[in-house]
Amino acid sequence: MAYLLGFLAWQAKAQDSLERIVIRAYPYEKYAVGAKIWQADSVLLSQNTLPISQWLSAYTPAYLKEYGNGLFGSIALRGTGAGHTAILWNGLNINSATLGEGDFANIPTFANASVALQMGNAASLYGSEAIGGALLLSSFEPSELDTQISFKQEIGSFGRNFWGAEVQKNTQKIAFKTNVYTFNLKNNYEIPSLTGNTQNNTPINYLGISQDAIWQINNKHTISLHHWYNSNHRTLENGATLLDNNLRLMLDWEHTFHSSNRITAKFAYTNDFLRYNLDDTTQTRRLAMILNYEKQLKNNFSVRLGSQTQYFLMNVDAYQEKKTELRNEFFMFSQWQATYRLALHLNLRQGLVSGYTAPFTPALGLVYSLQKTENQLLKWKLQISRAYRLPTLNSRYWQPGGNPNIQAENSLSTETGIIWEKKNQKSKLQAEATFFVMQVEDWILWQPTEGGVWSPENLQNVFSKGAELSVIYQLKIKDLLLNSFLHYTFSESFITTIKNDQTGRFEGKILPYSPKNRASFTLFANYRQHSLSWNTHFTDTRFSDLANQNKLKSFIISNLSLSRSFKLQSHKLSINLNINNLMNKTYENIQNQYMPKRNYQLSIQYIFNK
Amino acid sequence: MKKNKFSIFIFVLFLASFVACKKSDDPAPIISGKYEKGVLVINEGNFSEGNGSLSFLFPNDSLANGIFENENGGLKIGGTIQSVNSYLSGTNKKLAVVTNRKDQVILADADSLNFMAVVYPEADKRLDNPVSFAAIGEKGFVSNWGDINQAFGNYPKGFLTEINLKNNTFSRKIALDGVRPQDVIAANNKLYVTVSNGSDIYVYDSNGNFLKNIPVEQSPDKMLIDKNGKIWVICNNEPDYVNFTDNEGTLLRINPETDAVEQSIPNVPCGSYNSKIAYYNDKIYSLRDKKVFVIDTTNSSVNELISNDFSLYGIGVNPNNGDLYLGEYIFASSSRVRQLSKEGDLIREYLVGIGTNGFLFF
Repeated sequence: MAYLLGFLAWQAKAQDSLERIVIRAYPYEKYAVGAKIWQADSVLLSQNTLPISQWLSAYTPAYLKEYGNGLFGSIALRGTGAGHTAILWNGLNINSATLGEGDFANIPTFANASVALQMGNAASLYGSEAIGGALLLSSFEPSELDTQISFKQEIGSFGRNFWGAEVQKNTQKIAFKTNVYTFNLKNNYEIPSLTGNTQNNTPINYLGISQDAIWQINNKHTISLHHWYNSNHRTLENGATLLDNNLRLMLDWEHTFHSSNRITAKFAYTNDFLRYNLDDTTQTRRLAMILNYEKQLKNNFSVRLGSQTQYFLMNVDAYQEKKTELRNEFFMFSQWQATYRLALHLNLRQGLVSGYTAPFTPALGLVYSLQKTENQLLKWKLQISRAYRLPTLNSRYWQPGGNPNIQAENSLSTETGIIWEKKNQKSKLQAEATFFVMQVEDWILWQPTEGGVWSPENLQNVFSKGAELSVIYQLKIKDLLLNSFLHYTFSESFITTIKNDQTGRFEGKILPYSPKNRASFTLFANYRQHSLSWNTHFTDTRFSDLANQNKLKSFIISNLSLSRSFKLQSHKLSINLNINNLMNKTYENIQNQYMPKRNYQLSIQYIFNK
Repeated sequence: MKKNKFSIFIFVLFLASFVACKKSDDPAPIISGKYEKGVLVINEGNFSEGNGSLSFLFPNDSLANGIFENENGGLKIGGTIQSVNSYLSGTNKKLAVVTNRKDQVILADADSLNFMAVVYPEADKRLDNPVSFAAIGEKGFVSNWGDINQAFGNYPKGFLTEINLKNNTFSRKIALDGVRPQDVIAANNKLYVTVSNGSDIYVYDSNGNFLKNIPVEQSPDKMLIDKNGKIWVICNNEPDYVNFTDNEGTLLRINPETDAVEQSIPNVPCGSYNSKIAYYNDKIYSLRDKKVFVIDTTNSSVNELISNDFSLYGIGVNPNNGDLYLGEYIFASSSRVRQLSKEGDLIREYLVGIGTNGFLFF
């Protein structure tokens, strides 16, 4: 159940609004019945220039494996691995196809208007990799306003410098946005060494442009264009350099027949270029087409049929020659409001790829409203689903070692939970508790084989179980607004088997980098022109090795943010101070990858609204 | 106050007596160290976590893991161990632990494992992807690949780092332009460096002055000294990085008196890079994947000695009894170490640190 949060959103809901261009919340909300979804608070999002990895680490119960400060970040949702979360940008999976996973440190929050995290198996909706969940990015959500121009300048510790600008215009017919940004960080913070401290030296520089245009031709036709280019240059600890240039282009066409019958066609082109160490290059180009036909049958039953076709062209040094791969997927989503209280969904997806079988992934779920009044909601949800991850391009084509017989990873999961919402004039409480059980099979591992060559195989089976709890409380007393967010995850993820290990010494062990507990608490207070936000997050101990012999310490990190804004008619100036790692802790997320101690960011943002 | 002054006086007297002792011709009293006798196991660790560690097998067959942390108040090595070499400082045995990710050279006392000093890259890049270490007298030399962006290109910027082993400080860098050096070894008061991106061994005198180069075969890698003081080098023979299964290299014997190549044994199964070799009593052992091959230097024969059930990453042979030690090729968990008799029979198996890549025998 998605819940929109934050001061601006609250205001928007309360107002009567002229019919401007409306963007439906991420495309599949309707069919994600019963899924646990965390939605970023738009105010907190707008204040942040962090890459998404650091942002998710602070504000969500997801566990992010952060390799140093902004160098690389992968996510582990519900005790799964880096390749088990899909990153969707406007509905298109933008994970690296060669690696089959996403680098969360390479996604600036500034480029996107909305960020949501859907937990659990969601492959039937989104396709490959959505086993642990999916990160849903939406680049443009037109505001109620006519014109908005903003500039943001931020400086901070370790040679940090961020500059961003955005122009938005929303008329009856067209809404567009252009957003540019540039970021530099020397990353020369102190890290422990044997004789005291040494200086870390892993500079990061990125820049990008994100543009969107939505043209409502008439009340039946809408065309949207989305463009995002991001270039990120990083230097690793050993001096190796990594350059990532990612280009994403998308054209959306939507044609509505009657009220809810529509056809949508999405055409996308992505170009991912990676250069490691000045001479090792990887380039993956992809053409994608997603077609949807949605029909409302009767009042309470809707169906969406569709297909997704992707054509990959790979130019990877290690593949020895240019390679191509064609992937087709067919899906059907259906949602049935069976009774006043009961909503059901059934989603099906089947992929077709030459060379291997993609598993059939159905998802069946229900939401039963125990109570549904104006001020209170109590729902019970249940879902059982399958998910999959297609073999990465590297695992198929890497020379030497690529395994042409590699199969997809697959997963089966069950989850259930309760959603409770209660609100009145002044306050709103939203609580959600979810319990899940999941197994992931044929997890691909790279291991040394006969010739001394590393080769991938479907080797590992993992069983994971846990619970998630979220409590959000919002209170409004005259001019004071208080938002508090508490998110907690408990998960235990065990290796049930590694197929080629005869000793059995890893069976029953906890998956490396799988903390049992993760919690995040944020308190946001706004009084007229002042606001304050306090965030604390906890990461439990975790093992760094398969045999569970090395345990890494838990850590609690707190962050404070203070803001003051000045308004004059349509002009607004905000000054914001962030104090990160307030308690000045020395900590490592990944073993021996130390994170910065207390550090500061100061920013000025100018917004012009009409 | 009076009491303190008196205590200091006694203490100074005590120190003076100590100094007096040292001045005599009698050798200094040998303080028996915990790690004086046994097998030092070198666990490389993995690159992303830099979790190198040391383990020790005592003469009574007991095992201690994480000995560096144990003897240094819990401080971790904090890098991926490329090599550990022992040297003598006076009569005291020392260890030089070379790590990358972080780049550092840790100088420690071999008997107690307490570290004395650490050499860091600093702003002027005194170390840049260091690999190996050798000592001549009071000078230590560390081979460095140099900037990783160029190390595997056409013109690597490798160099040697010279360390003053008397006061454990950095002395200078010796440029090796165009070279990606791998191993360094000291013999006959000279320093030998393998040029792994070519087919030479560079020779330096004890002051770090370049003397000559010895042409060998393609991709010279590790070196060792045999019982006659001769140098053996394994050359990987410019392996094809795509089809490098069953790579075969060449073993060459060099006389450090004449710097001439005296013997050449071809068709030696070895790794395609980072080859591992060990020596015992006229035999050289070479690792390739799951197998150990034995090369008889007296007749140049090459035979398979052991076919193991898991891939191997480290090999060592105990000079006292010929026992073979094999380390497992694994980086996500602890390596298994197998101790075998020289005939290849399993004596014992241990579980040590991650990525065991070598052994030192004391």
